[in-house]
Amino acid sequence: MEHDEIIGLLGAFSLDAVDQSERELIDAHLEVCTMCCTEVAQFLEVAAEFVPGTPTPRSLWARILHSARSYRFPVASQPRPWLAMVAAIAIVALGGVVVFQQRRVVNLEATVAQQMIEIDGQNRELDEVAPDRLAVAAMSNPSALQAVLSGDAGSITFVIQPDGSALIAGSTLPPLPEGLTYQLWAVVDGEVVSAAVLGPDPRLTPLRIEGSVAVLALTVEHRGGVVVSEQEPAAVWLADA
Amino acid sequence: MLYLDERTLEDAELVGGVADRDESALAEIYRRHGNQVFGLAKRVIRDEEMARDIAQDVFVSLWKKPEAFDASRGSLRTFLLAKTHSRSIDVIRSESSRRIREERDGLLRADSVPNVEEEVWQVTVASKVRTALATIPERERDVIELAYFGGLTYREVAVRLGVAEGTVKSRIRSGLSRLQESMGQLGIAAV
Repeated sequence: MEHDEIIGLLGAFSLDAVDQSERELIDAHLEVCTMCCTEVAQFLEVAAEFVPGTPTPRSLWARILHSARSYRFPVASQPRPWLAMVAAIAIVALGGVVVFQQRRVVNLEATVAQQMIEIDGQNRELDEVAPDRLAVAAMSNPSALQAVLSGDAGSITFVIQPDGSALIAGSTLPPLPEGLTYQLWAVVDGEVVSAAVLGPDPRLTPLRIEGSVAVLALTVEHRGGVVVSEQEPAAVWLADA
Repeated sequence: MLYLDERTLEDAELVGGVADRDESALAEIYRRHGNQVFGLAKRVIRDEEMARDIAQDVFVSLWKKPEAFDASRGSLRTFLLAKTHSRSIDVIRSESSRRIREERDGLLRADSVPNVEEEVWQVTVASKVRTALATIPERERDVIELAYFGGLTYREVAVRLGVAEGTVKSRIRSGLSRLQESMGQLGIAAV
C-alpha cells in the first residue's frame, strides 16, 4: 500500500472503520512513520471528545477489582533457561557434585566477535586443504573425544583433541536461511561459554574447546551470534550420557 | 505535538501507581474514566452486559500491562477509549456475536442517519463539542457517526449511504481534521 493510500485511510483507521488486513498494514506503517502516528493520535483525541458518559453499574468496580486481584503476574524469566536445564541434566549425569554457576564472562561480546573473525579466516585456509583428510586425521587420534550433538533436525559431530583443538567431522544439520547462524555452547568446568559462531552451514570448522567439557549444545541465532542465548538447543551432547 | 496538560501528567502518575500495583491508583483511574469507558462500550454494542465485560476487560488490561500506555502519545482517557472502541468493534464484528450484530443492524436501520446524529447530540454533554460538530458539513458528520458509533467500516458506510468508498474515506478524514481545528479554536483539549 502506498503512503498516500495509507494517509487517506488514517481517519477511518482512527475510528476502527477499516478491515483487519488494512488495520495490520497501517499498524506496521505507524511503527515507522511519525507523521502518520501524530495524525492518528490527534484523530483519536478528537473522537474521544464525542464519547458520552454513562453511570456505571454498581457491580462493575467490584468485578474489576476481583479480576485484578485474581491475576497472577508472571515471574521474571530466568536467563538461558535451557542452559540451566542442560546443566542440571549434566550434573545428574556426572554424579552431581559440580556446582553450576552461570558466571558472566568478561568481554563476552568481544569473544563471540573474535570467534566469528577467526572462523572466517580459518575456513578460507581450510578451503585449500582436502577436508576429508583433516577429519580422518583428527579422528584417528585415539585420545581424541568424539562428541555427537543430536537433535530433531539432525546431528553434528565434533572431534576434540586433548590440547583443546577441535574440528567438525560431519554434519547432517540443514543449512540455515540467510541472516541466521549456528552457535556452539559448551559447559566447561561448570561454566557456560560460547565456543564458536559456526555460520549458517557448518563445515570442517576448526575451533578450540578447552577444559573438561560436560555439555555441548547448538542453538540457532541471528547472524553474528549472541552473548546470552534464549533459544532452545537444536542439538545437544552430554559427556556422560 | 500533542498537549501534555496537568491532567495528562496526573494520568501518567496514576498509571505509574498501577505499575506499582497500587489498587487505589486503579480506583482513581476508574473514577475518572469509568463512565466514559462504559458509556462508549454501551453506545457501540447496545448491550449492557457485554458493555460491562468490555469495560472490565479494559481496566484489568491496564492493571496487567500498564506499560502499554505512553503518555507522550496522548491522554489516558484517549488511550482507554481507543481500547474500549476497538474491543467493542471486535465484539460486534466477530462471528460469535452474529445475533447482536443483527439486532444492532435492526436498530441502525430503524434510525435514519439524521437520528443517529440527533442521538449523538443528545448524549454529548459538552456544549463546546456540540458547537464543534455543528461547524462541519453534515455529510462529514454522518460518516463519522456511522463509523464511530455505528461500528461500520468505511466500506459498509459507503454501501449504507450509496456513495463511493473513496468519498467516505476522505469525508471521515476531512471531518476529523475540521473538528480538530474547530475544537482547537473553542479551547477543547483535542489539539
